[in-house]
Amino acid sequence: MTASIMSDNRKSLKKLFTENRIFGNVVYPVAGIGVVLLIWHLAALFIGVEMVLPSPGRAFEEFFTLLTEEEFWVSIGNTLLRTLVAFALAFAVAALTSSLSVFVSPVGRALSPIITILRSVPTMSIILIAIIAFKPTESPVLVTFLISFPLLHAAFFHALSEVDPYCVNMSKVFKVPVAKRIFGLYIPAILPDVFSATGSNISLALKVMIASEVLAQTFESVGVAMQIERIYLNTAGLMGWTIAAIILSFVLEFIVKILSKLVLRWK
Amino acid sequence: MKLKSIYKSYGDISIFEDFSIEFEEGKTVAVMGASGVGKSTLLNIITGLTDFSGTVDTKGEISVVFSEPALLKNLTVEENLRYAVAHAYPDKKQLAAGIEAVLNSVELWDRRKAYPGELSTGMAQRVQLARGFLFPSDYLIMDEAFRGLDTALKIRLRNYFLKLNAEKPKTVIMFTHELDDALFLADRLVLLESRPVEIALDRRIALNKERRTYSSPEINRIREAYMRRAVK
Repeated sequence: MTASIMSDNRKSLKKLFTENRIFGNVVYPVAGIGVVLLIWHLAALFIGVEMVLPSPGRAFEEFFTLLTEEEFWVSIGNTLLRTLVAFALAFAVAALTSSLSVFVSPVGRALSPIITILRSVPTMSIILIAIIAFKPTESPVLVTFLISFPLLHAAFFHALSEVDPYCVNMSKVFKVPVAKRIFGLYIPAILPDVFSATGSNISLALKVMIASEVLAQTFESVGVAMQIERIYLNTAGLMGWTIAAIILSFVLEFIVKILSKLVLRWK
Repeated sequence: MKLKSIYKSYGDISIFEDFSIEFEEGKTVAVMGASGVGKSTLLNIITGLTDFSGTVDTKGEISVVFSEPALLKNLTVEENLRYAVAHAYPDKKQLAAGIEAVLNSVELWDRRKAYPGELSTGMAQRVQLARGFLFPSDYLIMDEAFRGLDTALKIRLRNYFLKLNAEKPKTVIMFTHELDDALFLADRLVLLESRPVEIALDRRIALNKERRTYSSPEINRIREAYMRRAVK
């Protein structure tokens, strides 16, 4: 009897820790972040030089100070806008090229080596070449586009290739109009993969954008703001901007996740 | 439906050479044959899903029941039917009435708002049957439509098929590996070989099991003929 009660208690505890939504969505993620902050804090204490590694408290202090400055919001807005423009362009071109690659075989074969080259070229090479050829406001957009495009193309190509062949054949035999096939069959079938690729690549696009802005010296941007903090050896300020970039990345991924849940109701 | 002088090969492997066959209008014909003899290729030729040389004369539209569900996961049962057939119904009221009638026939009207992921395999095949009969086609092609189903479910599906075919008669060409499906549902059996061999069936024998069982001489003769040719 006692053993049975103990076993039941163990089971309910196990259920609380593994299946409870509050534990899964709040407690565990907060605990994970807490561990990282603790390690950071201990490392800062150990080094003891704020210029090398400021404490999390100092970094967040800088971050909250930034929030009150107009320049911060202008820089965030500019970087976000450029990232979204570059990503939207990459998205649109990848949608076109992947569709052509799947449905027009010769185009697919011609594009294949170009995509492979784009995926293989070192990011830094693309940045340096773009900086020489384009304006500081344009080159980060081009670089982010060139980095995002092959990744999105590959994801869309894979998704389009995996559309249920039975549904494709059914649509052909029943002579379903082409527009209806595109909007009724293909787009919904690839949407899960499209959202997944968008979620993972939009953060990468933001990172690439900031790196490009640093090297291109793009006026009023997150990258240049970080560079200025580095020049003045204000590591806490640099960390403050980094926190802002991380939060921006989280927000973008969160928006994609919410959109995905709204659109993919059948899942 | 007449297929005349069909030639089809995959690389060096020839599947059909000067192959001809005719399917009688209004009848249900079962097409059987050993694996690799060209059943799937013939189905793809009839449905226009593969290139070939030769001619296929048909008098009307074709609908298909696939061996796999072939349902769009993002659409409900009712939306799946609309997706496949709406363009063939200029009158939307007629379409709505048709959907209700056909889903009632396969006892799925209550599940019309369900997504394919919420259906059992048998239910998904019933939706396919409903779709095949709802589409205003003259021909219904069935590709191993009852494959992998347990006996009880298969019998239920056969009955749904017979009911729908009585309500909306079509020329049915069913590709199957199951002799029992052919015996229960078809008017003729075609054994697919270099020259197709035809055997006339009397469905009443199979359906009226109380009076004439499987061990009746007629069924045994067909079974032996099929086995003999299949072994060859």
